[in-house]
This record gives sequence, C-alpha cells and structure tokens, in this order.
Amino acid sequence: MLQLLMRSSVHALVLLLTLMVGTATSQDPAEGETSGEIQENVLDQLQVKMIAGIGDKAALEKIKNRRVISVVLIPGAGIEAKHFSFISAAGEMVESLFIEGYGDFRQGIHGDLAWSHDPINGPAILSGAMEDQLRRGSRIFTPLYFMKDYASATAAGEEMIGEVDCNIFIFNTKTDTEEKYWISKDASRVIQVSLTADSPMGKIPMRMQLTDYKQVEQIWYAHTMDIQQGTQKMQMTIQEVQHDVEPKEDELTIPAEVQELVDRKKSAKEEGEKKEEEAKEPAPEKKESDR
Amino acid sequence: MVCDRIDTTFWDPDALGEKWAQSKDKHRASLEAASTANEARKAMHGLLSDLNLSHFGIIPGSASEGLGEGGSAETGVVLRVADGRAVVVRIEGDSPAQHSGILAGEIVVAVGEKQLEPLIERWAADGNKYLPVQGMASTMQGSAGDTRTYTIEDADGNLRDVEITLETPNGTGKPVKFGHIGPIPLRLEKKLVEGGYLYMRFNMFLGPMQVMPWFQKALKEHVDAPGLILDLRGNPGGLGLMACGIAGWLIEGDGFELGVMQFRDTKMKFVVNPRLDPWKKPVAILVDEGSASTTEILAQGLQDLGVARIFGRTTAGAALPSMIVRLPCGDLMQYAIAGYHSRSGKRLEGAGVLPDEVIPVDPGKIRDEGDPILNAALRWFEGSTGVWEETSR
Repeated sequence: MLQLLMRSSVHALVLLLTLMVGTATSQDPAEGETSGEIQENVLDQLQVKMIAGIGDKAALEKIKNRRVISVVLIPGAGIEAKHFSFISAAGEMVESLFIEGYGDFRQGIHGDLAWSHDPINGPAILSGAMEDQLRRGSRIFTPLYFMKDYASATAAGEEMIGEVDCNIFIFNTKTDTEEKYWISKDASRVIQVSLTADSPMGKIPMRMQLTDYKQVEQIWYAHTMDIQQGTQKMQMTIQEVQHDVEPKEDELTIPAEVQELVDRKKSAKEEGEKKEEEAKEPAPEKKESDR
Repeated sequence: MVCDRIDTTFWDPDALGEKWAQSKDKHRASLEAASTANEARKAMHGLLSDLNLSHFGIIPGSASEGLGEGGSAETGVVLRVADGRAVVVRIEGDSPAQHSGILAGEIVVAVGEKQLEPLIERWAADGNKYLPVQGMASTMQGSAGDTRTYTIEDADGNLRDVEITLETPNGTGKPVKFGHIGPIPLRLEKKLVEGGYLYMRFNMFLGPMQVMPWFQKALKEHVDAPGLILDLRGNPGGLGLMACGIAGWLIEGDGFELGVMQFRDTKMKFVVNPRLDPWKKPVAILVDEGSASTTEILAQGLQDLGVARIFGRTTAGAALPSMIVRLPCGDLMQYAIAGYHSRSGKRLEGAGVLPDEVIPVDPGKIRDEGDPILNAALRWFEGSTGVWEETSR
C-alpha cells in the first residue's frame, strides 16, 4: 500500500540524504586484536577515513549550512516528489517532501525540539528512536559526529555490489540500532546501505544503493540513490547542493501548528506541576471559629 | 507464474509451509495434464483456494462481461442490490438524474436493451459484495454527452423509460490526483441535519490537502453540534494514511492505533496522531457494501475503540492491498501482498465491517423515509447520546 509506505519513507528520507554525503573507508580492522578493541579501533579509523573521503576537515568545519534540493521518483505509482533539506552546522534542520496530491511532509530539529508536520496527521513532537534517528540525520557532515552518534563498527565480510568490490561494516548506534554499509575497496565510497528506519507506522527495513558520486565545491556527494522498501522502489536524485546560504524564513522557524502543540504541552505540564505542588502543601488548619 | 507470485510476495512465508509445497505439487500435475483453458483455470483456482484467503483468485477474461467502459461522466443514480434487483438508494444533488424524475426506492430494470438482473446474478456469483456495486456503477457511468435509456420500475410495478444524458460531475472541490490515480472529482458535502447534527460526506480518501482542512474547519465551526454523522457509503477508500488523519480528530489521547498491516518484511501500524481540540461528541458512521479499503480500516478502528457507532450494511471486505496481473492464458490473477487486522484482531478481508445497526436495502422503506440508514443514526443520537458518552468514551 503505497500511501501507507510513503509516511514511513518521508521519515526516513533525511537519514538517507545524509548517506548521500560521501562517506569513505577502505581499511580492514587490524588483525590479532580483541573484538572489543576491533570495534573501537574500526570506528575511530572509519571516522578519519570518512572525513578524508569527503574533503578537507578544516574546510568542512568552515561550512555553516547546506541546502540540498532533490527529486524523488516512485515510478511504480507515477509519483514525482520535490525534496529539500536545510541543515546548519549548529544542528538546526528542516526537511520537506512535497508530493502533488498528497501534500508537504516536514520534519525538523530546532534546539531541543524534534518535530514533524504533515497535512494529514498534523503536528507531532518526536521522541525516542525517531528523535535519535532525526538527530543523526541532522549532522551537516555525518563523519564529523561519528563518535558521538555511533557506539561501534565492525567488519562483516566482503561482497560485490554490481561490479564494485566492497567491504561490509556493521555500525551500531548509541541507541542500539544497527546499520550495514558496503564500502567500495578502490574508491572508499559507500555503495550500499541496509538499515531499519523508525517511523510512526513502525520499523521499516530499507536498502539503498548510492551512485553517481560528484564533487560540489570539493566535497563528494552521491547524486543518485535507489531505495528499495518492501515492494516499493524509489529513486532520489540531487539536483542542487548549496553551501553557506542565507536561510529562508521557513528553514529557521517552527511551523505554527507545531509551536501551538509545544505551547499547549508546556502549559499542561506547568499546570500539572502546580497541582502537584498544591497537593503536597498541608491544608490550613481550621480555626475553632470556622467550625 | 502463479506460484512464483505467491512465493515472492506472500506476507507470511512460514504460514505457507509444507501444505503449500504439497498443494503446488498436486496442482502442478493437474495443470500440466490440462488440455483446455477451463481445466488449466480449474487447477490454478484449486491451488489458490488451498490458501483459504480472499483476494487470491483467477478471474476469467470473460468476468468483465457486462461491465460498462466506465468514464468520468455519470447519471448521479446510486444503486444497491435487494433481492437480486438494482434499487435506487440515492440521487446525487446537482446531477442529470435529479431532473429525470427517477426516485429513490425505484428499481432500474434495464439499461438500453441490457437487463440488469442476470448481470447482477453473474457479478454476485462468487459471493463478492463489491463487484455488483462496481458493475452497477459502471452502468451509470460513461462519456460526457452519452445518452442512455433506463427502464425504471415504480412502486406499483409500472415500467417507464427514462432518457438521461451523462454529465461530468462538478464536484465541490478541485479534481484530485495522486500518481497514476485520477484526476477524480472530489465531492465534499457538509450540512446540519435535523436536530442540528453535523453531517459530512466525502467520496474518496484522496486529496488530503483539500479534505483534511475541510474536515478540520467543519468540526471547529460546528463544535456545538450535538453529534457527527460521517457518511462513508460508497466510499471506495484511497490513501490509507487518511484513515489515521481523520481518526486523529475523533480520538482523545495518545497511543491509539486502528490496526496493523503485515507485509512480507515489515509491519505497518495505523497509528493515530491525536489532534489539538478533537471532536468530543458522539460519532455515527454510515457504511454499505460500497465502502471499502481505507473506509473499512477507519470504521472498524473507530468501532473497536468505542469512538463511533456504525450504521448500514456490511462493508466490501476489501481492505488489503492486492495486485492483479494478466496471465499468459489471458486470465487475470489477483493476489494480496499484505494481511491486515484491526485493533481488536478482526480480519476485515472478505468479512468487512459489521455495523452495530444493520439496515437492509428496502425499496419501500427508502420510498417512505428517504434515507433509512441516516434516520437510524439520528434515532440513536436522540435516544442514547448521554449513556453512550459515559460508557464508551
């Protein structure tokens, strides 16, 4: 049921878009180390390699924000959707997937708030696994935050993906989820990823293949991603990557309906705390004259 | 090809098990021995019957016989079956039929030279409730400007011919489109009925950018109405997510879901996102055998949650996403790619949503009352609102 799958896809897209930023590694874990040491060392090595694979670390750290404009095709359903994401180095993020006849599905991170908004279900505040996933997706360059977001990475064999010889690595996030990466041996690029995305509808296994790597201002981006989600196939193609842009108003502000939800929840919480305090206070003793 | 489709798409491979393997062996032998199309069809039908599930079948190429070509224009006559006959249950407002003199409760006997009763019998032969609805609808659809002659039987059994020129309905919203679907005229109807109750009807779960704001606005505007009637009769469904969206306005509190759809590699929960200031008054949902898919998911979910009382007739029982492919022999194979069960564990497929109050198609009652299903909902509102509010919500 395409219409149902779309919601889960929307929530996973920002995570997938992050994957399109070139990630690279080629070194196998050192032999003879204990499995615990291997995990720690591989993760560390991967971070260094992946940063180098994208571009110069100092140059990456200078970029204040990034806007990516893409097209998402779902050929089986005749759907073409517009997608954009805005991510700042400070961790603010807004993502939008606009599907004609379906509407504008948005999600974002603003400070402590992770939110989503769509024309069917309205506003929601994200928490738990969905918030964690969105925060991982809100990194302007994932490898810079690698040690913060992942607990371990282990080598898990080799495999040919099409004509590309790959090493396989299993990444474990700090919230105990697992992602599997196929990294090309020659060019040190992510060729395939398999993960389970969290969505309001449940856990969604997905597999993505990344191709068409091109540099934008010295930074490598995979410009095409083919996504397989159950029986549904999607293709996401980057049309434009912009660095250090002037943010638009809707890239900085929380949608009004989300803000109203936040305000109401805050009021309800304060009201609850007030009542709790009042309940704790001993009742004033009744005077003789009151009786 | 039949086996391959099931093997690669069935949502619960473990459930297929050894019995399925044995069934394949058994029917493969019959298929290889078949010397006619009928024998081959029988073998394939036998194989799929062994699954003991709806939405799996071989549809002979001739099954569509009698179905019209369809089209965007229509008469505005809505038909349902009673005693094997096509009963007019509704005349759409602002339609060609409204000015034709055809009345609700009358019988459509023939379209041109084509008698409807034998066709209805054929469409309903395998117990399918939905095919007669679709078949009868197709006799009322075609190209704009087509003129058709309908033979109508009145309350006294008198026959008369009525000529109608088909028109494309204007709808009340913009035509909606989603991928390969549409454009389809969207009908949005909102009114206050007797007793000040809010009545809302939309013809498909499509066009969320129009339907959802319209629904939200109506609830806010009529917050003082003592009850809501959601008329989903004849609504064939559409975007599954819209069931969750509509439910979000009718349910208070977090953590509710309407049901679960089981695909081969994942489960999709129909989770309801609660909205600010939801509707808190009683809700009546009107359904019939033309209500399918998303409509059934919404109605069953709200019935399970005790949020709505359902009036009308058992729905189509067609909630699963299914695919239809043409086989090399020209027949069509239908197969479902997911299972669905509601919050209460009820499987809708083939069974449909059973209303709390069943109101059969009764031409006499339709002539007397106009809309017996709507009237039943109104009687419930008037009779038991307070008690229901306390016990069910």
